[in-house]
Amino acid sequence: MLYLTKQERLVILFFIGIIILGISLNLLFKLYSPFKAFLFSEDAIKIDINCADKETLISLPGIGERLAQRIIEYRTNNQGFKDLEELKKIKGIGIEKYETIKEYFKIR
Amino acid sequence: MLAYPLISLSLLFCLGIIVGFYIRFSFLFFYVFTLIDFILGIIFYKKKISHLFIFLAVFLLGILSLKNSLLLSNCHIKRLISNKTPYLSLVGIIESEPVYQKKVASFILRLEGLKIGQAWLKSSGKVLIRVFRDIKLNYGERLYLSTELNLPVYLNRRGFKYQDYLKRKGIYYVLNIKKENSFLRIIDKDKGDLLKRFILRLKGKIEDVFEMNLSFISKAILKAIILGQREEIPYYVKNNLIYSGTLHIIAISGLHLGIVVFIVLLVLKIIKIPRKVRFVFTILILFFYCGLTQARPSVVRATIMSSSLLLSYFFKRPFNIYNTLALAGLIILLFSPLQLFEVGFQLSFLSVIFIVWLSPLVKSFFLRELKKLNIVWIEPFVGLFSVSLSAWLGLLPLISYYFKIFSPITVLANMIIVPYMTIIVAAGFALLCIAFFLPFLSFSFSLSIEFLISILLKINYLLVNLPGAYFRLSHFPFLYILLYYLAVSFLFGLSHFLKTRLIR
Repeated sequence: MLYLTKQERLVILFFIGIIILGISLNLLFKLYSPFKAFLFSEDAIKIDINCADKETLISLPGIGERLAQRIIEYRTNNQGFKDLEELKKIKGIGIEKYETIKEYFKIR
Repeated sequence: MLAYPLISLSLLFCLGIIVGFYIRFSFLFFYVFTLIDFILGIIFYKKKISHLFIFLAVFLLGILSLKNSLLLSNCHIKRLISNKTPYLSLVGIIESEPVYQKKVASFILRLEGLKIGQAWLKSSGKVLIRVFRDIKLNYGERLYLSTELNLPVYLNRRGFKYQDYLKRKGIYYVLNIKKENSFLRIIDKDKGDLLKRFILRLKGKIEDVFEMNLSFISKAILKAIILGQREEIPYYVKNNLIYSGTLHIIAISGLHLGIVVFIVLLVLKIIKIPRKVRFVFTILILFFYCGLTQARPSVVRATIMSSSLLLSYFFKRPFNIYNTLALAGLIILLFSPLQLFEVGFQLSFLSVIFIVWLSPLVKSFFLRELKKLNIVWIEPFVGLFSVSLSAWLGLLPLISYYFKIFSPITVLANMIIVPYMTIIVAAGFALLCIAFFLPFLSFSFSLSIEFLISILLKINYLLVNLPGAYFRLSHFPFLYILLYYLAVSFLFGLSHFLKTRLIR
């Protein structure tokens, strides 16, 4: 009854490992909440709008060559974006377009 | 080639599809030609010349299949209306599961009737419907709708032509149901396929588990890797995966099916099901899972190959991966010849061909060299490196052509991310089992998965931002692809020839 095959041992160990990891993370987040914010922040993987080149901007849905050029010009003339809301000041970015494209960007 | 007969047949079939796509002769012409060839094949089947007739017949079948798939029936919507028709009324059944993105529901409608003037005509064909309203729609519902006609927008992003992509799926029109000038009403329910309805219901339950336990990105990634639904993955995540050459990790393939096979066989073994019954049951589960994940080419390929492997154990026969791969390709193309032109199909098959052929050669070469240098500690990584390098070499020209990217970081990225992804896939399946049977443990599992996915995305982001990780290409001619694969085919033939000579 106590004998487990190699596969059964592997599966049980895997399950135990996942549960231990989950409990450890829960404890860590309770003791040190900034760690949770750092770990699950989506901003880390978004595109920095103040560093994106023209090709990167064009590769995003909703941004063509002219709009990419206007974004870069605005960035150059205003020493970069301080807030993503400033995108609405650019010609060709209305409220609807802004709502679509804002999720691609962050400001470092 | 004679040891792998299915390879020759599938290559000829593919060649037939390609020729059929570009040659303008009618279906009837090739049909008659094929019949004559078939009759000659039967007459001379005892003689060696029958080989010629058989191979020619397979080639012609490729052409016929392609021509047949492009033929439209007399009542097809494309024959009944013109592109200038301003307004349409039609009745049809929702054929695909509606996808909801930013308050827009998109689905494919299978037509039943079309209103021309004042008369209703029986009609066939598919249209893509986009509903800009807050309405819940389901597979199998019969709809009556009226709206303006649209042609698919000629989108050409990174060389991907949306209009052609829809045409290959048999969709020639897009109908937008907006508030003004459009009308939509559900007139009947549960008209779709019974099995598909059951599958979608089960899929809904699985989505509920992810919805209740995971954050937006983790839920999107798990939906992609467990259910084959990639629509919810944010664009910046997909972009990074393209740049690192690891976009395939969110596609269902052999890895995922391997885990499904492992789980099913283990559970059946624990409950003492006899060996042969276990194999049969597992094959049925694989096909069911294939249906659950929308039967994309990579899933169908992996399902056929896994089933063949299980059948080889069942019948105690040797398993040949090349023949099995060719069989999978033939089956997919017999059902849908236009899949040959889909990037997913091409990438899926080429990656397996190159991994199977090239990675043992690369591995033995590096192991030999490392032994000479007495570097032993790195040997466990050689296998991983050889698989990653082989896949990269196999797909390099296609990735450059379709995505206009050259990504040297791909080899390293795949060595790190693919094994790591195995843990996430296994954890995803484990979460489903736990959520259904031991829901009080779901929290620990979901937190672990969130952590694992977060680390995955950060690793990928770091790799993509290394200097020289990837380069954008302004242009990559199709001719380079042909030359590259011709050279590779020559090397393949040469290596096989040398191997056979060595064995003798």
